[in-house]
Amino acid sequence: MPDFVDTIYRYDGSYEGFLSAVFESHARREVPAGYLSGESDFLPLAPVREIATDQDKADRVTRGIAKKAGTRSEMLARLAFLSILPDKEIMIDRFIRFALKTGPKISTMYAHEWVNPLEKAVHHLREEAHLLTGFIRFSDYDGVLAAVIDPKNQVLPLLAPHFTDRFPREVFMIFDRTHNQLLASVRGKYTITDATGFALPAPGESERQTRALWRRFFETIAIHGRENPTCQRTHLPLRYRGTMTEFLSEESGTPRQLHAGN
Amino acid sequence: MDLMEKLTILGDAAKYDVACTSSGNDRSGKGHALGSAVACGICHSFSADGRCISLLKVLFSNACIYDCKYCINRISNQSTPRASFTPRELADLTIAFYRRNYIEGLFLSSGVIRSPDHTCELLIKTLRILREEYDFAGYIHVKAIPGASPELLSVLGQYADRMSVNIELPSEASLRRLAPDKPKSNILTPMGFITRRVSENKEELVHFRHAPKFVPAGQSTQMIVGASPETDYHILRLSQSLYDKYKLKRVFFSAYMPLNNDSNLPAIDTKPPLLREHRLYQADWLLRFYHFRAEEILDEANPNFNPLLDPKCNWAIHHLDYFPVEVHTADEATLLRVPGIGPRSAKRILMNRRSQKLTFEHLHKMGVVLKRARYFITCGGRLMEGLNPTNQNIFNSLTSPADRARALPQGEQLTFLPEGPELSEVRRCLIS
Repeated sequence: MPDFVDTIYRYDGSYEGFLSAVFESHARREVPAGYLSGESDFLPLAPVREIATDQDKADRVTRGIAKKAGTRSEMLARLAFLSILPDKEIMIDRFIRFALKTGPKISTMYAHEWVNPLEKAVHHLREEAHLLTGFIRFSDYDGVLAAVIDPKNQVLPLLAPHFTDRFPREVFMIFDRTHNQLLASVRGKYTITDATGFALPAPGESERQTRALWRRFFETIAIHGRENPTCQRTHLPLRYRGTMTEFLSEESGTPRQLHAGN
Repeated sequence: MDLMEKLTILGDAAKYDVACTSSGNDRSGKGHALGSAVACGICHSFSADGRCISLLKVLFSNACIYDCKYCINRISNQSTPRASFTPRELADLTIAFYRRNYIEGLFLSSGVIRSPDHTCELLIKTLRILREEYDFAGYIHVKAIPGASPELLSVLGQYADRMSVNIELPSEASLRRLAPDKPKSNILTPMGFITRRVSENKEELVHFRHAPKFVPAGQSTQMIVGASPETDYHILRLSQSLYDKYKLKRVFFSAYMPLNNDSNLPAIDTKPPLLREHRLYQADWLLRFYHFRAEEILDEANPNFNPLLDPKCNWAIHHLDYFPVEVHTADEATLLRVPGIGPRSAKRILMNRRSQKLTFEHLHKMGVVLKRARYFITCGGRLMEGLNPTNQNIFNSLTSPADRARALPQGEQLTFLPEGPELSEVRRCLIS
């Protein structure tokens, strides 16, 4: 049995860093009281163990989970790290321990206390990414496409393959304003990097015209005898509308009143 | 006429077409210049009426030579402004919208200009620019023009992912009365043609891997509900036979919005039967994903939906002898009959019960809606604790208080309820 210690592990915030910490805790046969990622300013009162990111150790953990509990479990842990699961490091740590102990049977334990929170969080992540595959709005700047999003989860790794496949000959960028990450895709190859202060420049004339056409189409297509803002909000929550062309006015770039009571 | 004006007129003219789905086909963008398709479909926005906007849905032209009574574009309507795109204009607009991720592709329909064949040729020209010149691999849904020649439809279908023919009205009599220029054969002939071509094409693809695909996402149709006197049972059976015989992927229903004043139509101030449309979609889901048959959902004695209960709950409450089912042993089809259990939670139950004994807590975490399901299941041979399965309690848990209040027999609200034994059943539940 590993010891429950009051040490806190500090890692660099990356998934590889986190897995290196998991590796370390297994090597030392101890369960840390918590994890700290490099960026947090939180001053811990407990002893801190600094973890150096080690790709080799991270790969060994990855392979270990996949071999013992299947690739689906490995994927679940990896995706949960991108989600907004509260205390995600501890939850994923517990999941990994449970997966290594339980083996492939874990894929049939959806409702288990160490599995269910990850399943739910990953579902939320995938759901948000799926919605954004539709709700992202690009603007054209001399042939380069650019978009800004405000997601809750870190969705860029899920969006990248979809849009790169869809726009194989385009150069495009998606900036995640919540996590300050930039996806840049150049004719079929993409990278995701940290970035700050990315803002869209003012649109050119033909871009403004296309936006106006889209807004007109959006208004025209609604059947006013069936107006139903509640239904609209259920499918397209307000938080997505801040970056969607049809909900912004051209001049101020601020949300516009589309219909009374909306 | 500028593009903005055309888009306004032709978008407005297309908005009563319901189908805006972009589903049914997976196509990678690799090897193409622009675009891809995903089988689950993607919604790109939702309009003020709460309907999904997935495709750029427009008519190619609304200058129609026909005179269908329910249609805003009928030739005798002097007050509608007329417009037509050119194939180039429409293709360019589609690409401009698609690159900005406004849309998943194009939904193209048209009024009949000059003749069905001429119209069909214009649509082909548009799709050809998109598919060949732009090498566009996004989704295209095209309306088969009734009366166009099979050769042209065959070409049109090679450029499209999905093709549809609107059945318009649920019976031949209504069709004769309201769409005098569209005999039933004009609708069923192209529909049958598409079904045949799809199955031939499957055969061709077995022998020749690179044979051109014909509408790979299949065929759909739509009909107007509430403009003619057919019962829900009639409509549901018709949908069922369209799925069975014509192998349709989807049947869409559109609550009739009064646009024209005509003695053959409901009065212009009639409210669109939105609840009825909603119930039809619920029943349609039961046909497609829950192994129900139309005859189980409704019958000659109860030909219309219960306004208070969705069709699945309604079935369950009338078949209490079928319940409770044991979640550890019931097969998938049986689980799917339980109100509060859907395809996803049924699959999870099957998976999870292999490795552990399930509890109600587990079921809740798997997404089973216990508020409804608890009266119909046992878990390890036991009903949920503290449950009092009286008719009243079951009925209450399946309906909302607001709906119940509306349906209580008080004054004019009574007309809201269907006639016949179903009503007395509802009343009995309410009073007992």
